[in-house]
Amino acid sequence: MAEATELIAEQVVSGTSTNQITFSSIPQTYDDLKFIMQYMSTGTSSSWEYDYLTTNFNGDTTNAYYQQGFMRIKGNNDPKPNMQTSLQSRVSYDSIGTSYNGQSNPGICEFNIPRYSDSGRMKEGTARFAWLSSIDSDWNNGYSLTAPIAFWVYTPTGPITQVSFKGLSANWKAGSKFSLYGISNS
Amino acid sequence: MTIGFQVLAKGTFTGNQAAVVFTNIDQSYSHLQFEITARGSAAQSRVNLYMNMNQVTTGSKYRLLGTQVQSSSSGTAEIVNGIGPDSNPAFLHICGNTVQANQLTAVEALIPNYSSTSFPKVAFGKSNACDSSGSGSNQKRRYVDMVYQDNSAITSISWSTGGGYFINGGSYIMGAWK
Repeated sequence: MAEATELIAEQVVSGTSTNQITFSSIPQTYDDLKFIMQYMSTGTSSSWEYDYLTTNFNGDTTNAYYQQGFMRIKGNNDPKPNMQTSLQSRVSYDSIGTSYNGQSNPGICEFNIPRYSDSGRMKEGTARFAWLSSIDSDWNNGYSLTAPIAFWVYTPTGPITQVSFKGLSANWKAGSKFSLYGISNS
Repeated sequence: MTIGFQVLAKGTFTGNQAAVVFTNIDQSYSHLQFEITARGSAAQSRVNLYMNMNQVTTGSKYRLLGTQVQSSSSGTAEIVNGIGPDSNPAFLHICGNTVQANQLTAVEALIPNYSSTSFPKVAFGKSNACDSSGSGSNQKRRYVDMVYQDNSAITSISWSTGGGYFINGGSYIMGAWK
């Protein structure tokens, strides 16, 4: 099956005041959506060795998201599944490098939304993400992590026309990049 | 609308190549992706595969984290951790020359925001070094991510194998996401 991809939009953060990246009015003409992202947070609080990439669809912050289980591998730790047993207000992946303690590394994420424009069907998708700290003590304490595959479910059944990404603790650091692609199967 | 993914370079391994090096990488794209099918010449069931950003093999700038499943470990996932800082870690694996004939390993890697000068670079990697005869005890399916601790833009990438060369007939693609 042939596959064609197009860049729909890209956002690169400048300055230090951007809290949320939003892709609005997403064309409904593709089969699937793919995001490729690299990002870092301005946060310096000691409570946040890393932060959480949170994703919302269509501006919906109700408890409409089910994150399912994913394999999360932490530095100096065993591979462990991360399971949610209740609906949440967002999809949340702990993959943002913060600026705490001189840490310098960004996180990366590949986020896929198949059949995003369908009506009458909940949306299910996959992601892969990673954050590898630059600090030895973080590794020894398990503060580096990757997830080779993660799954999520968004329970409303309408088309997805808007996707937003934000961190929980602080703004996006300048240079963070968010790319949205449309994929057509033919 | 702009084409999303484009092939920048591709080829086939010939002449007992010890490495394939991509230089002068176009800086006008956002993310780099590699697709490689390869087999190493070493008389082993599995050999290391190295990816060096800007061809750097000094300075202990790399760290790895991920998981792998090995055929001899009863299906238990192993953690790939504590690797680094290192100057030239084995990122992924390909099959060596003792596995079943005509077997090649599929490898994929993605480097988001490769031209950035704001951050170090992080890469997703996966490889499937297997022996389809089912008799090899050192088969490994690997999902590993690598950080390159340097803010320089990535203008060249080298891929090389441990203890030998790439067997002729394998192939490689470097693509980019606009």
